[in-house]
Amino acid sequence: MLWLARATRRVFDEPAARSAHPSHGPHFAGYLADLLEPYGLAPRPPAGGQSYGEMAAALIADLVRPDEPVDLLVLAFAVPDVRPGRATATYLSHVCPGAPLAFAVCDQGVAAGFTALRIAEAYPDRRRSLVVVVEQATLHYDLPAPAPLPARHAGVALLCGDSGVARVSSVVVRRGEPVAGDLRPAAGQPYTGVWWALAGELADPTPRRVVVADHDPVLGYACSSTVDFVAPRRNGGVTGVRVGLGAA
Amino acid sequence: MTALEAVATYLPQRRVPLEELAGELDLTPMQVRLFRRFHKLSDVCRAPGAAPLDLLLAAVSKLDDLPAVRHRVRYVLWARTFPVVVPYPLNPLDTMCRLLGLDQAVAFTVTHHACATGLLAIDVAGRLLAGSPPDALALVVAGEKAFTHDARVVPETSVFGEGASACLVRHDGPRDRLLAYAVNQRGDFDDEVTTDTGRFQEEYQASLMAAIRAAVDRAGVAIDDIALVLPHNVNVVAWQRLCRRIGYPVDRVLLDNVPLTAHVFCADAFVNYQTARARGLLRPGDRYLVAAAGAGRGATFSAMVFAH
Repeated sequence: MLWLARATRRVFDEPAARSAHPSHGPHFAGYLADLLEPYGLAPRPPAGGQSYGEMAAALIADLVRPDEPVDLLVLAFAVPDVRPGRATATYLSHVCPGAPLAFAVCDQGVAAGFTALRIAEAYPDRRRSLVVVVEQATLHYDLPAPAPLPARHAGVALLCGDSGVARVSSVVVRRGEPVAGDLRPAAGQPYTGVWWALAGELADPTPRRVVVADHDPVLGYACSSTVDFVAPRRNGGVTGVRVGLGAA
Repeated sequence: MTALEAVATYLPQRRVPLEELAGELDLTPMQVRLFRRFHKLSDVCRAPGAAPLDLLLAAVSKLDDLPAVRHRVRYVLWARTFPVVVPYPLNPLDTMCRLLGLDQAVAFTVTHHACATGLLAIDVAGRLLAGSPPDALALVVAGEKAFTHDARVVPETSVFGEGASACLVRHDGPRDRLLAYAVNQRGDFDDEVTTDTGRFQEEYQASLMAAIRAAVDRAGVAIDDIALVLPHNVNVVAWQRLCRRIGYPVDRVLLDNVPLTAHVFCADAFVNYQTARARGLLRPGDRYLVAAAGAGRGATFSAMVFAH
């Protein structure tokens, strides 16, 4: 059973610091040119853009205490960042307490964040997991097909595990019609918006059920999950957490 | 226990000798000679004019059983070395699913373990299937284009060739059962953490050995019990050295494809599996090890032990 312990969210107003590195511009320009050429696209002069490594590292620093080792980190994104060839999640394994198994999921639009949460559910032996959903707003070429583009660089990190303030269940990703949800996704954040709203919900400890739902207009995924907030216990814990008493 | 149900691979017919690629890869004649004589690299496969979608479709079309079982495919995973290989929002994986009648499956890419992502995808697929009906399947595909310099050559180590693989995975099954998976991630080799590429070369062997030993231990076997190693096809000399260090006979490492295909991104393991099957190198009950190292600004070393 997966529990949501804490979350953090952040907008990144500045471009990636890495963009100022002398080797970045030529390497990025070469990668882009080779990526676009087979599709008859041309790069636009690079201006701005964020790095998911920098964004996620900041979210980790906000959220994860040094004495709180993470066992699994799943990074979800849709729009490429300014370091398109980098194994960013492997870097994040280095900066995240616990040196977790870390990898990324993508090419799934809105559904990637839900798939990351579903993967966290699928690794019950990894006691503490971190789901990081990121989007950056700068594309260095014209869109070759219709798709949402974020209005800002934003990221949300969800710290999950075998205890927490809200129980996460029924994580569903499927093709189909949209599912009704309880949260209004943050505007201009097509890929992080619903997670941004969920992170905001954590400020309210009232016991309740929140249905997190979203739909990808391009790929046709309907995604949902239920998040049950439970009442805090007097001893600082929460009700609904199963406590082992030594009996098998 | 995660199990492989079927494996298929595609290698383009066109083989290009390293000498013809020297200009494109920025290799001096001396570097070409070193690759050929020392690393035992010779040719790479290339499919000019083919897009990533074409490579994936070519491999999946060789899965003879897929049309009969496609209604059982719940997940489709693309194991990818390079996180970004087509302009956003183009999506060859989604297109592939629609063309193959897999448009009800949940499809996504797994990445950021560089060329070790193929092993990761098998593990993720098996775990996701845990909550599905027992006959549910996941399709794991791998295959990429040598589309940019980083996707063509690993300096002083290897060259990339084009090709693809397709593998049906079950949560549990009788064939090729996954006994153990170990990952040794080294984000400290990321280029924003260190520029000391020499340290990576020094620690490469020890890091891969650590993953192999962890997988063997978790599988409850000894390294001597491993009948065959299916390596990543980066080069021959790295495996000769590693075998000396771990005391494993190099003639039980399937290195025959290195000069024929070079390093086919995440598809190496599956290409080598096909060769092993075709040559009868795996007998029922054999324990075999699949190993991969991915260096893509950060490094991941992975190993899996299977029972055939």
